[in-house]
Amino acid sequence: MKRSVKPVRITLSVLSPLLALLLMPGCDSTPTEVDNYDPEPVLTAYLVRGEPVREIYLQRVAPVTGFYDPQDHGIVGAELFLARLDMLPDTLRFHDDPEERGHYLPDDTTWVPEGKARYRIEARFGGEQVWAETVVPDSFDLTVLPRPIAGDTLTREDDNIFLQWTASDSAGGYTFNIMSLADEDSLVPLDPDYDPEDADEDSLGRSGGWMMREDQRTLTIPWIMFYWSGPYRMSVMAVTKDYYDYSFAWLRIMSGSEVTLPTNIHGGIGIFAGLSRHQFEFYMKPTDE
Amino acid sequence: MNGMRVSLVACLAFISLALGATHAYPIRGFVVDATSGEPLPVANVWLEGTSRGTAANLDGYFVINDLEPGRHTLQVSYVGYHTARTPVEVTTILMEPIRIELLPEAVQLDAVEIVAEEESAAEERISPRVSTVPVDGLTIRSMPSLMAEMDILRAVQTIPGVKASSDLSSAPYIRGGSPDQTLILMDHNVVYNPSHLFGLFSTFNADAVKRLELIKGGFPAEYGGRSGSVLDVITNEGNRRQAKGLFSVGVISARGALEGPLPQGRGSYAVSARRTYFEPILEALRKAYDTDIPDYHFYDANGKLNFDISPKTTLTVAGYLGNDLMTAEFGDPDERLGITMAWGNRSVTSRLRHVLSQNLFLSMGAGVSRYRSRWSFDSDGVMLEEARNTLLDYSFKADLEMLGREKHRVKAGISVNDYIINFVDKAEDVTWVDVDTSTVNVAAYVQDTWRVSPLLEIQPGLRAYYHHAGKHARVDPRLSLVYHHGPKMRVKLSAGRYTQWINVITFGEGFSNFDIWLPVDGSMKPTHTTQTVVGFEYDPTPELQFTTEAYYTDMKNLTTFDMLTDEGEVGADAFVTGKGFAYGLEWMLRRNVGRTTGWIGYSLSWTKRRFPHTYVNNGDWFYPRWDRRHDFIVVANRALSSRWDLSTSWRYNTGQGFTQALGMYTVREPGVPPDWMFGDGRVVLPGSMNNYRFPADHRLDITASYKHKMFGLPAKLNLSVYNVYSRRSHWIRYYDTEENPVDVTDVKLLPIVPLLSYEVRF
Repeated sequence: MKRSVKPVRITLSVLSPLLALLLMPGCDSTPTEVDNYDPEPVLTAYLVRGEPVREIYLQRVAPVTGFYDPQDHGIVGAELFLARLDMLPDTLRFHDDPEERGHYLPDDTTWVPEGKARYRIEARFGGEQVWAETVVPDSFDLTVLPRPIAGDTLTREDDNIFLQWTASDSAGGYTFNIMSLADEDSLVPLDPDYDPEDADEDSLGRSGGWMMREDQRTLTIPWIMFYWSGPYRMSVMAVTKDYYDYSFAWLRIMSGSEVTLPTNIHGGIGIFAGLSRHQFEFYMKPTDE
Repeated sequence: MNGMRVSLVACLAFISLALGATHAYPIRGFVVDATSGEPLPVANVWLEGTSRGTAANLDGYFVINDLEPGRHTLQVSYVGYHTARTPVEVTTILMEPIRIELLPEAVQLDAVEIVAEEESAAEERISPRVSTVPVDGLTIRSMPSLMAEMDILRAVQTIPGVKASSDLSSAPYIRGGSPDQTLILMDHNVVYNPSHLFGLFSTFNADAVKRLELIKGGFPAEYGGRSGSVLDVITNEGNRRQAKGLFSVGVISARGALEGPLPQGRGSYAVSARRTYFEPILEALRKAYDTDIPDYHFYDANGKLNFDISPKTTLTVAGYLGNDLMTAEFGDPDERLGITMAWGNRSVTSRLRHVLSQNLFLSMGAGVSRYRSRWSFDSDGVMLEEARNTLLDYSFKADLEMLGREKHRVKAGISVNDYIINFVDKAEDVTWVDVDTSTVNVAAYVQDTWRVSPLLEIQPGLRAYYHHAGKHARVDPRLSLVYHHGPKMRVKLSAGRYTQWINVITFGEGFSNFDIWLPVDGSMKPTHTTQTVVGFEYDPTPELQFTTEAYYTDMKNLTTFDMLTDEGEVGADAFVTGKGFAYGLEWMLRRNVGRTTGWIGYSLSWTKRRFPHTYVNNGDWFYPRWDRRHDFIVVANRALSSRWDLSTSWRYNTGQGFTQALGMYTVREPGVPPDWMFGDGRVVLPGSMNNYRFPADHRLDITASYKHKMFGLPAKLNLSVYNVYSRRSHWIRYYDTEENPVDVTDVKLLPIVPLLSYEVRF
């Protein structure tokens, strides 16, 4: 888990009622004015060990003001390819998705990244070039205690889920993600006393996660991370150091810290990361009255 | 280590010189308050009919040597007191120290008025020390306050050159330095985290404060260990004549103080305490709004005992105790999230003051200061995170002053600090940070205040350090001078190097409960600055003093918390290092006497920092949040009548820097559709750090006091109005990306806060 991110966020949450009393009613909506807006390119691509490469996103940074439609800022017509550096000429090319601007699909849908292999991605468009390299983490073993829960039905009365995993070669950290797969329109809260009127925005989230340091091997998942009954997907991923730093910095920024978002994209921003993951699904039963 | 040897040799030479210097027929003694018996530091002592005189030391002790036997008359003056003319018979036998008592000056007509006399107004102007602003306890207690809580750090923030990061923080940012660069002393003991309520108030109980001295830069060799400035707070010694007390109730806290003489007139005591009583208010809010508001309180207490062991020896024992505690439970009834936060300081210090010989004054003491904080978060029995931080500082300090020489006033000393640090941050089986270390820092200094001529006085000094962890040795040279251009004008200059041996990891603004102090260890180099200050002083009248100063500070090995660190066992793991600079001009017109006192100040300043090859602003230069180009302040205290006092302050300053978003885009996480993420994955791209500024701030604070009798006891009703015209300063800019277009909101700080307090003295 990320140290200190959580305490700061929790502290802010705790203090927010006190702070609200002090600041009430002190918020003004302010038009933002930026005089050095730079529409730099953003490249996002993930290579998952053992799974076919599915997509790559290429967009431009948009102005803060005005309605934001990602379709308006996708970069189209880029020459985009992915290459395994230790097995030339093993190259995967991409083409525009006609349905979504800035969304690129692979020419070969069976192209599968391997663990411990180094890859390079490169995009050229309108005289610009962005590129990055990454190494895909190798496989690792994951054990769920006290019993395997894939395909199972759980309730909050069960023991907390406990995860244990082995090291993944080339990993710079690990992430845990939990996601409710229920339809947005049919979300049923686990807590029978749940009142949507009292809920803050965080409690409405359908997904949550933790970050674990490279040397962490266990994690207990508190039930507080589960808000909705229904199907869930849980994943534990070994990630590259670039992605770990990128995500860590995002957590810091989201909790109010001022750090520059790291990127491994040359000529732009974004992230090109390798992952190795275990994921499984289960069902959360509503809590009895 | 060569520097250490030089310093030790200099100290030994000084001691032998002082012991050998036996000038016959001296007058020596203490200057004290006639009503309380408390020493009056830096009082002015003159031999009537001559140009010879001296200033007492901080303990009120003075020596005038080389007098002819016979009758002499001393004139002794101190701001706010009647000048005393005391006949003294000088004999050929070494006399015991005499006590000269000064009566406080008071106008009996309709209001208390502080009266100036030519000599007394000059008293604090003969020192070559630059950038020094003394403020007495009375002035602090009469200044406008937030929530009727008199606060000395907020009073300090009204001095030109001192900034606040925001209305929420009492921490002082002085001449471009961060709060940890200021050495904060209370009764000669270091205070590490002087904050209550997450930095909103300081831990200093204003009732306990006798005086403070802020040295904004260019401080002399007797101070060290920090690279920016010094705030030296001296608490009340206690009334040596009669027992007195005070009780005060405000909306959020109650305070009490008691002082008096020890039996048989062998000394004095002073105690004070305060405690908040938010709890019923918070409970009422919890019930009224059916929401999870945490429980919170803080308390602090000061105590001081002075034992007069002999006419030449006094032993002082002082203690401080302060704690903040916040507990909370959140969430669903069966999924409670428990939070506990507690932090506080404790310190005990002893100090022996002894007239060692005719010319030597010894002050030595030992102390222990502890700062401890802990916080924990758990959910339904699962401990999410727990952290404990303890800093123990065992210290010993000895200072030797050689007084009585016409041209030299030499001071030397040694201090030893033994730091013991323990900081553990863990979750389940993972220990993120486990620092368990100790180190010893030894410092020795010597300085001489040398009156080269009636017009020129210089103060050279050296401070040498040996820091055991990392085996660091440093020698900091210091030099100050004052040139008198006539009786009303002075030019001052100071330059020196200042090394810092302890750094802070802070998660809040200024000081907060999350502060973690880590001394320099073998993995890092100490921060050091080089400061240069040039000043000009002019006294247009005996009541007025005009000061202007220019300064430049170069900062090396600056540290700031590495926001991307996720483990640590040594100091360097927690920090990134960089450099910085600060420069500026300050003006201050001050009136210390009369029915209206106060000051008008303005500062024009710049400060920048850089942490190369880090994620702090991508390694580029940036203005820290406390950089303010213009800062104008007026502080005025007026005795309206015998019953009414009025105190006001008005400040205008350049707005705070903030990081403006430069654009936005969509983030995509592996396996998570953007429309399942907060704001459909929309995020703003932050620009360079503090690339924009909020509008300028200005604020008026007023306190009106009505003095009367309550059952025959003097009482005072205070109405304190903070931010009178409710102009709220900007604090942060918040981007709500869940809205499309993005909702940009500026969060502003405190509106008008009127509060009452009532105090009774007995």
